Amino acid sequence: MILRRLETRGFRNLEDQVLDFHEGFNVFEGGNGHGKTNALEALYWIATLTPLRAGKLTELVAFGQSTCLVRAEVELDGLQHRLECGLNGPERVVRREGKATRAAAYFGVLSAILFTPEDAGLLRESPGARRRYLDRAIFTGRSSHLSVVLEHRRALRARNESLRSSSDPHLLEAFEGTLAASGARLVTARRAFVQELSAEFASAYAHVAGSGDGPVLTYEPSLDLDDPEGHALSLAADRARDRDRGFTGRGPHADDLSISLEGHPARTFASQGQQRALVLALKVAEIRRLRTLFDLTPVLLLDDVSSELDGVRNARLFEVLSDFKGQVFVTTTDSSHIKTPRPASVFEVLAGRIRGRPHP
Amino acid sequence: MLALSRLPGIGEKTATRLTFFLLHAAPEIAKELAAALGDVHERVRLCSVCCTMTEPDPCRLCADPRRDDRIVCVVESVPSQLAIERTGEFRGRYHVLHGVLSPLDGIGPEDLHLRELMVRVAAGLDEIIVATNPSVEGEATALYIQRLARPFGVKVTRIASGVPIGSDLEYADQVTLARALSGRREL
Ligand SMILES: Nc1ncnc2c1ncn2[C@@H]1O[C@H](COP(=O)(O)OP(=O)(O)OP(=O)(O)O)[C@@H](O)[C@H]1O
Ligand SMILES: [Mg+2]
Ligand SMILES: [Zn+2]
Repeated sequence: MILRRLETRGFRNLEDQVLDFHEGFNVFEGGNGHGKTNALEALYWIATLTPLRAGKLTELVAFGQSTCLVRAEVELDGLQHRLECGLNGPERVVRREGKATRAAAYFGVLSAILFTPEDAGLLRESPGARRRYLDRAIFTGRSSHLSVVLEHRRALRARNESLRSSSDPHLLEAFEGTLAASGARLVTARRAFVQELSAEFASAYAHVAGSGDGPVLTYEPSLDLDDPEGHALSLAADRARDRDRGFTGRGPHADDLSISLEGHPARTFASQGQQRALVLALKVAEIRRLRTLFDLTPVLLLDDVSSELDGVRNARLFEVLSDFKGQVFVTTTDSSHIKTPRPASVFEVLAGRIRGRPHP
Repeated sequence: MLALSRLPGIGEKTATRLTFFLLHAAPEIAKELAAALGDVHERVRLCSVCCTMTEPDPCRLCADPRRDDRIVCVVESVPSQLAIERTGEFRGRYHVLHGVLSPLDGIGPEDLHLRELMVRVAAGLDEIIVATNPSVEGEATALYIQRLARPFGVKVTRIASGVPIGSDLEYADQVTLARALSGRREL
């Protein structure tokens, strides 16, 4: 997939503009606070319908305005597609090929994998951050995973509510049934993903870190049984305890992804540099898995490459990406840090205005 | 015009068109409409058997002697009932719940017409087909009905969900396709 063109209107601090991209590397260069990450966020939003940083969608709208719009022209297998998402006040408008669609029918044209400085903290963050990572990564290859996640979330909230507000055992059983069904689907998808990723992960780490200390990925479920019946049994067994605490204690919403290095949990034992390399290896493995299993080449969005990685690591990142055939977007304060392995376009970002300039 | 545009599915444009029509049509049409709307609350009620909206009680479908009394199709709304009826496939009776169980919206069993359904179950049925939507709440409602009906030995079935017949696979969204695949059956 190639993102040929992007148009933004009323988006963050970006000027209303149309950008034509290189099919290889695109470098956004500019000083702090000029809008580089905002440009990446526009790309991420139109690919995933999830903002990159904003807690509330309305934060995407330029100060003092009430609407924003992002449009993309994407080429996939020789066909042109048009994506559009915008905000009309609080209301989100999503279009594909010019027609308003539900989110479920929107995806499938453009997928993106994001690298940000915050990634390095993934191992130290709460299990929730790792579950979100897993679900997002599964979604990148299979967009219907989103509905599994949303359905599970709703079923969980419904069971929690019936725990608190109803004494009807049939009602609790009914929502345990739907929770078990969606929970089992969620766990199955995550387990399969972790297994598929593991195949690529160790070699990606060896590549990134320059040494192969054999890192191991493990999905850590809070329930032992994966099938819907097993889930339902566990929920039934937990009923009294869950009623006391007022929420569902065990299930995929309490699971975790653990990474160990030389037999020790990386979360507590790996150095910062090793943690960074592990997370980078996760992403590289993700990219390879997509290619192997789905023949899919997403666009890569790399935020703030210069600040986070020193010269050597920087060079290694691009070396690791050198066998990547797809399109890459990079932001940096200084494009001389960026030794792209392939031809590139450089865009200057100045106070929200983005202008292409020929690469030296 | 404002009153018309408050109706579901009627935007400002349609409301304007309808108003123009009523202004230009014979005055009796507007009067008839006003009269019909005026006593809608008195005339239309819920069928005492199946809880659909009806003027005669029991409703036309409950009164039809050619339909199969032993099978009841449970739906969440009158539009769902009409949609199934339009297929011409189903010759049993209906039961309209007027909603689904939704703890998050404060809708419990007592807010649905389940008591009337249980009266019919107790009187003897062979099968209940639960045709609620394939949402979390629709599925839970199906399971709930199954739990209620279990002691009576009634068979409770669930309609399959997936790709609508006659629609192109190419245009089905991924969620629908995924569901259709996971609900596949052996031929
Ligand atoms: N909704 C908005 N409307 C207008 N301006 C906004 C909005 N949201 C953020 N900004 C502005 O955008 C600027 C930040 O842009 P961005 O985060 O893209 O900077 P950057 O170029 O990535 O900087 P750095 O190099 O420090 O990462 C800030 O000055 C911020 O005030
Ligand atoms: Mg930035
Ligand atoms: Zn009736």
